[in-house]
Amino acid sequence: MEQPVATTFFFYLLSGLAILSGVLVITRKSPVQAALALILTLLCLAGLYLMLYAPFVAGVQIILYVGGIMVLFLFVIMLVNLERSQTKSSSTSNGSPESGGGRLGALFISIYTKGKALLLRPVVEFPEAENTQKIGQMLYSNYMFPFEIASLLLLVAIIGAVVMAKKRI
Amino acid sequence: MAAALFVLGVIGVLTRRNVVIVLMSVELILNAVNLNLVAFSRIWGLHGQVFAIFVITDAAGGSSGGSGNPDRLLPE
Repeated sequence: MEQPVATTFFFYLLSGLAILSGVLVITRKSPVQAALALILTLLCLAGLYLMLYAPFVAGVQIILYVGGIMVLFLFVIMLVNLERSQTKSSSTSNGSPESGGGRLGALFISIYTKGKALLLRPVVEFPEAENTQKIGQMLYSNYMFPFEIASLLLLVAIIGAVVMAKKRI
Repeated sequence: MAAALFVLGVIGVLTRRNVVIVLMSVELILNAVNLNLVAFSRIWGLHGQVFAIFVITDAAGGSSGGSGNPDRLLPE
């Protein structure tokens, strides 16, 4: 086995940042801050996957988790907060909304810049390009049956979400 | 490192009351499992990465099903 892509400094940086933001996930009161910390954790894990010679899993991690699941979480949080604030007639007054929006924007910007600084570095010096091809061939030859089971699981998840959302109307 | 992330997820599942944060802690646990799979796939070939993709699919389905209705996600 060859050496990892970057030095051990990047491993300790990424893992320390991931664990620290994981602590933030389970200790923050506000779910929005917890979700943003979880996004930072997922980005650090994607960087660790890149260091472990797994660029396809890193890409899937960024696209699916950071792009899909976390946006879904943030939508749910916003919807729940909207309904609660409508029913409770806006009695929550921890800070003005302008400062909250400013902090949220600062968090987004910091996460964006940190994620780019963390993720663009290993891509440049990555020599292995056939990882995705190997994963695709293995996915369609050895793991054909679990692949179909996963598609069935996604179908069941879609139907379940539609049924649960339809019962409310 | 993955063990620390897993322990954080378990603590989050067991201690928090908010359902959304419990779901996010479940995501932490699944990510710890994924990190172990990818790390051991450096030694034993590419099977761990394929299985990590299956775990990501499972997490996507579970979170979409779990957060499909905002009615039951209201805290207390």
